[in-house]
Amino acid sequence: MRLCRTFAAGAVFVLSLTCSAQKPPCEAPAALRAQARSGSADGYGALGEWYHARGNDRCALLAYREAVRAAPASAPAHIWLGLALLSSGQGGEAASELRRALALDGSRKEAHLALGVIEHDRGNTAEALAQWEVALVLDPGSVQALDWIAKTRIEARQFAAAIDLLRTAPEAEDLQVDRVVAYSMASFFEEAVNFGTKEVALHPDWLRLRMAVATILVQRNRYQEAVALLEPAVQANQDNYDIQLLYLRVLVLNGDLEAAKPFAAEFTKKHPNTFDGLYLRGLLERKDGDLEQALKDLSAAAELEPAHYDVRYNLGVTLAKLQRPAEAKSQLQRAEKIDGSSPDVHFQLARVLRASGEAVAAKQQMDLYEEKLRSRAVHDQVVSLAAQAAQRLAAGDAAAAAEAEKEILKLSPDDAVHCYDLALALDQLGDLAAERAALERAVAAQPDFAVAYNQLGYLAIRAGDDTAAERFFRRAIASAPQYAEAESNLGSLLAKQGKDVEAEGHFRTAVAANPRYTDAWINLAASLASRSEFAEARSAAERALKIEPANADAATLLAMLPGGNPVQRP
Amino acid sequence: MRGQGLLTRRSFVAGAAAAWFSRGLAQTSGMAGGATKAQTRRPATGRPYASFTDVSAQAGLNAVMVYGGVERIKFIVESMGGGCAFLDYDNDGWIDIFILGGRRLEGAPPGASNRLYRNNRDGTFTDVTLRAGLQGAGWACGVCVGDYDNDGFEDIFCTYYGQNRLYRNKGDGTFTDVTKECGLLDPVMRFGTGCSFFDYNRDGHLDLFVANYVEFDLRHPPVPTIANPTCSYEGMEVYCGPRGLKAGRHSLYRNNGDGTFTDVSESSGIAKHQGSYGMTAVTADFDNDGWPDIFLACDSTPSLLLMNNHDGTFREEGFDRGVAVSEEGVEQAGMGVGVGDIGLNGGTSLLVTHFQKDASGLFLNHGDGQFTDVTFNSRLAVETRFVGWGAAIADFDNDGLPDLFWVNGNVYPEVERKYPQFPFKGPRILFRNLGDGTFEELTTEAGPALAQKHASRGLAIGDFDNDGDLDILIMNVNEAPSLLRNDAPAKNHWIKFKLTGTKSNRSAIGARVTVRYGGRVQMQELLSQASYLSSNDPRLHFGLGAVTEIEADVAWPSGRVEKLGRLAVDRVLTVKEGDGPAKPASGRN
Repeated sequence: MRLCRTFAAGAVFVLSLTCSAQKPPCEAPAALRAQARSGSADGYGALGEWYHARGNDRCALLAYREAVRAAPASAPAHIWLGLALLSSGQGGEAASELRRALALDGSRKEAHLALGVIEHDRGNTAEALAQWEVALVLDPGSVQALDWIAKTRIEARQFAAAIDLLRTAPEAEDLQVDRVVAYSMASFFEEAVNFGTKEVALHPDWLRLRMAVATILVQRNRYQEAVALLEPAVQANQDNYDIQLLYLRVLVLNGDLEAAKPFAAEFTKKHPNTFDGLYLRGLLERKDGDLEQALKDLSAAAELEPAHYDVRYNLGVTLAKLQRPAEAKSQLQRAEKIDGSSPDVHFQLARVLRASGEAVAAKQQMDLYEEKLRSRAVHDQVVSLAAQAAQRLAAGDAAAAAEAEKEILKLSPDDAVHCYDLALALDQLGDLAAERAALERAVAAQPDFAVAYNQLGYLAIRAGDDTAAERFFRRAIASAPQYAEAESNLGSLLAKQGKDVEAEGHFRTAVAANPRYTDAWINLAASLASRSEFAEARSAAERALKIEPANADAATLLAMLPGGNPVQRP
Repeated sequence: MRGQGLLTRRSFVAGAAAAWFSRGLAQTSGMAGGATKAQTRRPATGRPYASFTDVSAQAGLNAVMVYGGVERIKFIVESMGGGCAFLDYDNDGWIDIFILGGRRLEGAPPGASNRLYRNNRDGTFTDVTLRAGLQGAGWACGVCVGDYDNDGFEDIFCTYYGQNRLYRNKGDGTFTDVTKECGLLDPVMRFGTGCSFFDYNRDGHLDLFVANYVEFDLRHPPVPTIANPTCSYEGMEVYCGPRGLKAGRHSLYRNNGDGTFTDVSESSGIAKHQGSYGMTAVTADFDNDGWPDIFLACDSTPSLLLMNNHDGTFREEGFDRGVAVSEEGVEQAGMGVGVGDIGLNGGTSLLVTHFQKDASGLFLNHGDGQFTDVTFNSRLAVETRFVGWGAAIADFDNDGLPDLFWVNGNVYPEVERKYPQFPFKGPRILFRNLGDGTFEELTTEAGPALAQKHASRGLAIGDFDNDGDLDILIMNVNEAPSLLRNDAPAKNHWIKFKLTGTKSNRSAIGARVTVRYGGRVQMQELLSQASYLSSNDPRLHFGLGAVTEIEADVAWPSGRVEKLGRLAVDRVLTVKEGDGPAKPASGRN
């Protein structure tokens, strides 16, 4: 590919990718053209920025390439080009440019951030996190770094690490949304709601946060609070589609027809022919018995989103009520194909099939429906018993907790999580043989259950079986790469066997995966110290103390390291 | 910074958080899990109706029916409240009152007891609880009435959280607890709710069906916590259950004909239908095959319709016959059951009360035991504000068209303090039958007593003053009961049938009277339990409108059908099996 530079007759500067007339020319104002003509990286940079601001990424990319050619030793120029390449989907070349930039100037936060993005998109989570951690060191208040690290932790279901990270984060809406999501996904619903509500009170204009909290409230069947939370924002943001839509959905879910119907009418007036408006209005019409109108709106919604379960389902129910069983059957079968997990579609299909004289097929659908209802009832019992078990364990009554977990396993014998929870209770009771049996049952039920393998490894160490322990820790890591605790445990085991270098690698992985994992920092410090890497060992021990200022092991280790000042124990 | 915009515009779509948020926003998919939408109301017709007046205080029904906590309900046993009964325990032709009460978690305060009131035949009642031997405070739930030993006096069976009790009527105004000698002692703690005497094997002796709600032990109760979704409501910590609790096992006891019962739950197939939280039990012949079946309204789980196989066993067909769940396939909080021939087609239709934000369900029986949920088409879905309990299908204005009535009361007294839209106490709900398959809710047309707000549970209908219309008895939680005297339009006529079995069980439970009047046909069956864990006046009452002559026949549980011929109206007709109608017992007062 050849880069041509041409000058048009007029006052615009033109870059052309191929010199052919097929691509539109890269036109720019004369002043920028003059600046670029000087041959400086900054001039091309300004030109690239001008193109980029106008959405002309092709020309921006050309300008940044010129910048790099003009100043190969300019870190910013490589960064501009790297970011432009990243934006145009050329991650490989982008990474090269960004690494060149960092080789020239390692303190460029934006290069680390972007490299992290590229690595994340490639699936190299550890490397992505490492890049963003560096960015965070360079700028401890970087919202982007915090946001992306938090999201990656949430993605990896490391909710506690995400919450830890965000606890001291600066006030930024993205970060508070992350925190609310992390709380919610960790099942700390009350914390999510309480924290989110408090933040919304402080920042009434943070709509995404408000919507996140409202979403959690709806998920917890707290419709009244969701309505109350959304109402003022709905009033103040009449043109905000997302919040108006969420509010309408909450009204519909709450069964408040009196409020929902006029709001839906207003919403569809403002946003005619949108999927959401048509679907929700059709749904309300169906519920209010206006079946012909419901059919019209739902059909229109289905035109816009043909593969939407809810629309197909509601179309099917509407047609069934209109005594059009063949069409109802077709719509319901489409809904079932899209998502057969809901009991409702099987119930409605059974009715339609029975009305059509298809008794056998109807029976099959009814059996599916009843099976799903039974599963839901069992699920409810499991949830209730699990809450009781957790209560009792927290109250120190491990025996009662174990009994509750055993009840759960009677209902749901292959539930790996509750096998593990039973093991936890048994651990507190000191019944290690039963604990091991429960853990083995857990991994039999879920062969990639990393936490259970880790605990099995721990039990094996206690039983003096290092071979088995190593096997379990490695299995844990294979099941969940970036599993900090297993990495640290394996490192400790290897260190015990004198395999210091290998051990150190695992400790490093552990702290990369969870930078707030004190034990891993201490282990890393000890491992480094054993190889006389005292400066870095001191740094690792200090990290541990920063996280846990009262940690005696870290303080002792730091005091023992040469060149360090004795640490005052708090 | 130059180029920075490229990065800030990037969306982190791969993140789990993004997926979480999308899911949260797409939640209308689960409409079935949400509430029934309140139907739009039509303008009222404004036609006059019967008028109700609360006469409980002047009638002497003053004892507070203690039941659980007043400010807060901590455990599910406190939420149940009790049923009530109109029965004629002394056979004097005037119906008496039996009301169930409970206690508190801390114990039984003075006055906590079930109550038996004798009808003084002058509009007042006398509390005869102590003299009758029925004093006692437990967590009573349900009552069903029937003469299990065919000795001519109505006996009382009560379900409890704890041991159920069978009180035999000795015929001298007193009762004796015969639970143990009858073989009805439970070896384990159970949570009895619905019960019904019925002759499932048609041997002339009343058998007994008993529903159980949940498995629950007050010694080791699940402690409410907001973290447990089965213990929270709209973000408030409330008592746990029933969801999340193990369902109770229902029981069938066969009457041995010698004053004892045998538990046939297993052999009859009843025991295997576990998994539903049973509440009110109605035994009736739903498919008109001459054999009594069982409908069990169930809370938060599919209701059960146990069809009689004629060989001592039952099969469950609630789903196939359309009464297990709503027409949307949603499990509902089935509490109470009104029973009647709403379609005037000889079929036993059902009115089932539900939780707030959900309409009470009206299930039309087509006469063959197949039901259609006509809640919406009959326009009942305009009312979804309250938690419904005791219910009745009855012709209160004697116009010949059965109307609908139910009482309300929330289960979470603490929720009202935060959300006034969920009041603990609610009004009574009355729907007038418009005669075209639809109903209209009456709010002010039927007297001030309907608007009074109570936390009610049990409800029984009967004519306590023998004036030819149906009055209403209501059990209110932690209050005195309500007795609503009905003053029906005088121009409308009526007839009542008091049935006595001979070959059939003496209470004539399961007997059916079919009346033809003014081009209409209506069937009623004598039931042991209906409403919410309650028992109605055993005299079958038909409103007739302007009609002054009717034709009627009785189908007895024994299989005998007696044609009663043309009958004059405005009277109680006593019919003894095999003897035909006796002379009029009473007329309009």
